[in-house]
Amino acid sequence: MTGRSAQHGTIRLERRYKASPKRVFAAWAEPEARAKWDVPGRWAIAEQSFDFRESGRELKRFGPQTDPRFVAETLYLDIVPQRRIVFSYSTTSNGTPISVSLTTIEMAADGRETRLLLTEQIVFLDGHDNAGNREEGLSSMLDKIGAML
Amino acid sequence: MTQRSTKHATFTIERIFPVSPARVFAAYADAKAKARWFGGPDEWEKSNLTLDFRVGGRESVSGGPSGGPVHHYNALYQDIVPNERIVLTYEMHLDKTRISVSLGTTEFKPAGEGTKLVYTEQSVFLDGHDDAGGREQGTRGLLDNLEAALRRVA
Repeated sequence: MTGRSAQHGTIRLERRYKASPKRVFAAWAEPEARAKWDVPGRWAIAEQSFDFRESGRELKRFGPQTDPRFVAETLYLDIVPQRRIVFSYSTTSNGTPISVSLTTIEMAADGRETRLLLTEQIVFLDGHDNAGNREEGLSSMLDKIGAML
Repeated sequence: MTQRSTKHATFTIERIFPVSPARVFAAYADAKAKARWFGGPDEWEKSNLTLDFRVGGRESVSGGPSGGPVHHYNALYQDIVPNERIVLTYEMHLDKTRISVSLGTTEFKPAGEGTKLVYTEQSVFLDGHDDAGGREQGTRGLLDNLEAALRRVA
């Protein structure tokens, strides 16, 4: 027996930010801004590369302060400034694959605010991680963007 | 202002093949074997399929009806477990327009003497192009081609 499994799911989150789509977009596009929020909760980023453009690939090593065991490798697929970002990323923990995601970020001006929609389509591999846990992590990051803005 | 929109969709297809998981997996892992079943309809003009079958490797093929738009497929391999699983993401362009991005999981499971293949595709269709029903139908056609290719060499 191998114990292989693939669990598919979709997470949808919505936020309203008191900032323009231009500033919300910059939270992804500008390395200094992204470094402020791109990790869940109290975790830390140990290493991060930036290549924010279509076909650009990035690597981020992160985790609890003393144990940055996770690595996310991102590929940017579709970028429409101030409107939309589509990217895929795979996550490993100590080298073991735990998930692959396809994430769509959409931004639209709504009065003086920006409405942000995050849709993450995911496959969790071999029972590592789950949708509830991932949603909590993503939600925490979107809250950090709000605090930053 | 260009109208921007997204439509997210998921579909799953299951097939039973009368050959081992290793044989079905080989039809995905080898460029020559994959080119026998993966591509548009026979009457299309097609490019050669390029395949770098390893995690982080790329795959591409393009084709279309004579005089019509060219469909470009570009994939990135995200996870590979030999004879068991392939996870990739791919984007489709129609000429120069990106119409969709997808996350595709193919699972190969032993089923008696044969293999149960489960393909799950999670997609986002961009700006009103394409639709999930058409993509699922197209994918079923590809798996029909795969089945025929496996029977030819069985």
